[in-house]
Amino acid sequence: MSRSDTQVMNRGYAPGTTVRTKGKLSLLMKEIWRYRLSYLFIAPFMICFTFFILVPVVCALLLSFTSYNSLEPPRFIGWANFRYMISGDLLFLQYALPNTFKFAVIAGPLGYIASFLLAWLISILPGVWRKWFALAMYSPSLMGGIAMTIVWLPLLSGDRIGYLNSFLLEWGFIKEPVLWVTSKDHLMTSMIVVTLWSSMGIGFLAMLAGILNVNPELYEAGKLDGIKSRLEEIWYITIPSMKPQMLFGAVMAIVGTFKAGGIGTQLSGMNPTPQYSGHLIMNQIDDYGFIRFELGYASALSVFLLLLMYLSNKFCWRLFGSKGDE
Amino acid sequence: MKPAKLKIIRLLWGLLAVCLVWVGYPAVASADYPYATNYRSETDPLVWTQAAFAPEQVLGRDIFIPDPEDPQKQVLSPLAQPSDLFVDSQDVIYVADTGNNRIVVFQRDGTFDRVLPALPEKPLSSPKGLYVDGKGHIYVADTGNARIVMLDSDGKLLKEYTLPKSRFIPEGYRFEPIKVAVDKRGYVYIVSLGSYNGLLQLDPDGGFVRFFAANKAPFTLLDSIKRKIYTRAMYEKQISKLPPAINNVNIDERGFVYTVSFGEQLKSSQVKKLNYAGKDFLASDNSTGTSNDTFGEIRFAAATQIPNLTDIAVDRLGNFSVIDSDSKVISQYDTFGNLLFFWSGDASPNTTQLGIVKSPAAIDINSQNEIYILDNNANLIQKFRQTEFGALVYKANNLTIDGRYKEAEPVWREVLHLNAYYTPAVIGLAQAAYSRGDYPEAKKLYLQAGIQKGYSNAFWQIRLEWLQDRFGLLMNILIGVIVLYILYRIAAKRYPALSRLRLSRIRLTSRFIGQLRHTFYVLRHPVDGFYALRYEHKGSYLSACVVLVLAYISYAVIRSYTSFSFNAEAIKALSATTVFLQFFLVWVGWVISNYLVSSIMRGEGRFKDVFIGSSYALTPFIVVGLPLTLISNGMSLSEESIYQFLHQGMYVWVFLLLIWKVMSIQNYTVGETAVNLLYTVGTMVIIGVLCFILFGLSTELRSFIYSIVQEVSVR
Repeated sequence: MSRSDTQVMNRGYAPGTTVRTKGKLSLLMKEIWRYRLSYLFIAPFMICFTFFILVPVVCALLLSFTSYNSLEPPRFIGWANFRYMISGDLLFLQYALPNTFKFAVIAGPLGYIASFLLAWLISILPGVWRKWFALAMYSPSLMGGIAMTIVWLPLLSGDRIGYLNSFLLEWGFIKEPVLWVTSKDHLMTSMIVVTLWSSMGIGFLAMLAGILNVNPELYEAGKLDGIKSRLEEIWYITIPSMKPQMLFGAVMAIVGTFKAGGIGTQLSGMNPTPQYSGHLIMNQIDDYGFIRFELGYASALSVFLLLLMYLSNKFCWRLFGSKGDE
Repeated sequence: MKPAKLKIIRLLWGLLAVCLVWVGYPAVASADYPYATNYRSETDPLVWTQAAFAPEQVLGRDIFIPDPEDPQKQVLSPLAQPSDLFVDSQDVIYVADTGNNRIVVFQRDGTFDRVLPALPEKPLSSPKGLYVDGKGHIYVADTGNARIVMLDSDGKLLKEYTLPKSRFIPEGYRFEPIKVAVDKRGYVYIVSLGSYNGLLQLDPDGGFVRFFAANKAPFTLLDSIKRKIYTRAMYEKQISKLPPAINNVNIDERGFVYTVSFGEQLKSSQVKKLNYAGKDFLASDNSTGTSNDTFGEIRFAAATQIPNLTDIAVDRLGNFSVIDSDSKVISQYDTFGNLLFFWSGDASPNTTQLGIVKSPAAIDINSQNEIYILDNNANLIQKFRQTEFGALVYKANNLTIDGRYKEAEPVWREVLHLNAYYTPAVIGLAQAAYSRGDYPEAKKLYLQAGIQKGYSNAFWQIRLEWLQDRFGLLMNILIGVIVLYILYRIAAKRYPALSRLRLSRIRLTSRFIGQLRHTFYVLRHPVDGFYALRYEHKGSYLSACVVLVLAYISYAVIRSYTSFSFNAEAIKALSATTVFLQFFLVWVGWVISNYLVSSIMRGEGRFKDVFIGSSYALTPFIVVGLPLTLISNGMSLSEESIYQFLHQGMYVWVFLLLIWKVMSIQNYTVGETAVNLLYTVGTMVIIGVLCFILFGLSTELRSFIYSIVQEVSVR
């Protein structure tokens, strides 16, 4: 008898009542049968969810304790993967982890703030324009790969002809062309800039919707109550009434920055990135999973990343999640 | 025995002991040189060291040439305003004797050898520079005739280089060659007097190649504003912005071209080390460069004093020495531009003293690491040889640069034994310790030397080992904690009494505790929290003072206990009064000026509210700062981004709280708050300036009164 069953049971009955386990189970079955139509309705989603999300995640969790190369059957090795990760994998400890932190700490909050500001600015625009601007802002996140090759690579090209270099050279800011994407000093900055540019994704759309959804009467009421400036309006009315969207945006920003991986290799055109300067945890997972075929260790890394995301999401909930009593 | 006799005997014993001590410890000051040698590091602006070079000999007093009137007789013919000196690969010394229009050669032991015969068709006219290549060809910058001549070792003219015709040479280019250098391919690099175009590079046949290694014109933000707003006429009246001119050039054995520049606004890159492509290896702004790019040390520099370097000497291993003709300081750097020594002494204008160069014009070094410095005031050459200390440092440093840390270690140890304050030795030992895996030792030494990166790396390794050793234990503890927590949750569900136990912590419901607890409410709901401070009596002077003192303590702890990896101050002796003053002056200034400004601007807050609110706004120092300080001691520079995020987040938080404080307590709108903040900062600055003036004047007044009292009482 699993714990969750007892919990379900307990919810239905007063806590502390001692019902025999067997009886509990049959009661549960009866309950389920009673609501069979509801179960039928959620079945399509639940089946998809179970097979495509729940099972893989649980598998990854299990695989992370094994040594598995996709040919031989997995071999249980206990904590060894995690031990290697925290104390032996220098690539991970010296590059992937610090780089990911740096990337997430800068690109995450900045992208989040930028999406909010842009969403707000666009919401001010008259209706006809709004649509097109929103589309324009949203498009970079849709066609990241194409735009990368068309816009960013020529712009950041490391020779004299690269747009940025030629501009800076012409204006005398630099003496010699800077290797924006192929030197270890500048790759991270370029990655962050490009990520910011393409960070107006789902979170941005949600926030835009949230801003547009705020009841206009609230603004009027606010004006009557003495709100004088736009800033106050944002602070006192807009943000409090779109907390769910803010939370959603924050979660998307965190997930987006943590799972960003390809950008470094795309920009620099090398894998691994020059002197691992753009090496993120995702690259490390790719490396172990699909180049070295050490799937057990790659799963361990993914589990670690999952944990990281979970904790930061918790943090966001603390920050933006609306409490029940408010 | 009589007591008196005993006394005498005791006295005698004492005297004997003193004598013995005297013998045992001879005078500590070793050979007395007329100059002092120093080193300077990040942590210590001036370290006195033993001399690295000792004066040995004076050259140029024995130049005898056949008397032009009576060829049988030899007459003394001293140097006259010589301007350049060169030591060739055979250690033969050549001097450009500008005043006498000739080239003088000395043998390797320093005795006079010969004067090169005058050129028959067109004699030299005030030659100011010379260079001797590997094949023994002598290149002379014949300044007066605006040409470079190439002579063989007997002084016979082989080739003549004049200003070539090229459309790349600007109209009105004044060709006045003062220095010359030649690379292995035979390309000639010429320094023309005051030319800002860079070195004139000619091919072996005298054709123009390019201008090489030009400096960049200084251009500041102010200049760009001027350029925007000035009219053409106004702009033309400005002093024209020219790149700093190159003073001298040298080429080392590996083919690097060194230039030495001087300009009014040249703050860095006084020395450049360039490859054939023109890339500077001593610059901080490119990938090949090094961390140090300012050269030319001055012991006690006045604010406007900048080094005026005139010549550079490079030894076989790339260590270089530069001379400063203004301050007469000789500074020595290793091949990466790290300072090794600098030395200078006071010259008296009348006497010539061994070791003191009155007016250094040129410097060069031979294969034995002996330095020759040309004095164009005394018309002599001084020779210096390495002391034991200097030789040890050079040897150890060269080994370290080659990466032979293990061999360098005993040498550095000896250096440190000779001078315990010489930081490069500590760094060398730290590198050695790191390379052999003795990380705790390396960490300690890096801390002593003040190298954050090295310290952090050593700490990283130590932490890694620590984790590797205890991984299993840590994981078991983690699992144990999680299991216990789950058990607790299950148990709490069964027996609600358990969870109620947690809730019913001992509640101190005293008013004071409530006021203190209000700080946490302020953190979460700043607007309401500060409003409550003003209108609901949620704070008092007492609670504010407690919070303030706690915040101050936290601030002091942050300043002094944050890991050295992030906080270079950690190793400096931080005076408690400085921190105290910094903290409280700013805070008191803020409270007073904010209150004054707000009361003028129709704010609703009383002084009490401003006081309490301002101290409550400092809570992030306690809540974030203290844990962060603790965590920082477990972090290395690879986690720097996290640390910086939290550290800056703390200050941003305090800043935001202050804004909210002004807004809620004074009942302002956003715009009013911004104006208020601006005025407050302005008032703080004015108060600061006034205090400064008042303090200065009162000191004057005090000394004035004191001197009057002295006058009256003494007379």
